[in-house]
Amino acid sequence: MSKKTQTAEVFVKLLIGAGKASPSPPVGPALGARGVKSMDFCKQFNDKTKHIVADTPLPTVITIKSDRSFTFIVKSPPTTYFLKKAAGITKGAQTPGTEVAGQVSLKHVYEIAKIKQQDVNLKHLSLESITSSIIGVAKSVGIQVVH
Amino acid sequence: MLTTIVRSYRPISQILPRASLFHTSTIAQTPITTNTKKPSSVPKGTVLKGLQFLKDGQDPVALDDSEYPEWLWDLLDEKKMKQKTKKPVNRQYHRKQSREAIKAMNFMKDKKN
Repeated sequence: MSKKTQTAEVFVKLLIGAGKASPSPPVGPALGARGVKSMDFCKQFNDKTKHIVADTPLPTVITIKSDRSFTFIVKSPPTTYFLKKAAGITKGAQTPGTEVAGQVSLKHVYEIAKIKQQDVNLKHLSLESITSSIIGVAKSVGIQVVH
Repeated sequence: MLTTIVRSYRPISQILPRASLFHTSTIAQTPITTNTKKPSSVPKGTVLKGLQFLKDGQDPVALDDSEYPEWLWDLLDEKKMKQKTKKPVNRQYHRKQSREAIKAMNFMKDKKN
């Protein structure tokens, strides 16, 4: 007779700067509370992200199993991060609908979409749909997309 | 029974003969442009800054307008994007829509429930 072991998987979503894991506030308590040794995770994470420019925010999804083992997926940086860098601004608009914080061209958006398509959860989408999503994100941050 | 009055008009080309029959050289011929494409604000060869997040990578360089896919230039055109929403344009669909709208209105107006 086979035993059915219930592996209750817990997902932890974090935004971590590349190569900069293990500070107490973001990573430590979030993982420690679920019984994962944060040092282990931080070593693996920093290893995986050493080819990325330091401090780029990277959304990660950590899957913790009931036996306290974990796996994690590192996704591409957030779209707003790319848009702000391309527009040359640090902060988005205070009132996005009315205020315009910066400008970005369609070619920028296309390149961002190419980077985003490498993500695990976006691989099945067409470039066209990804680009139109990025234009929507630009609207919400107050960045104008120019021809 | 109403009787329809049939009126026939001569086509305009018979009333006003084509001007080209009389003078060809003096009329300026406007060229017919099939491709009215607006050039992009980012010319070929400009470095697209800020899009490189790998340490050993380089910022991507803008290519020529023609090297980008066709759909890219339509993305900012609201009219064209609305046309792409793929709703059927037939009687059956619209009748269904209006039936659903009537049902919704009746539901909202129903005072007994």
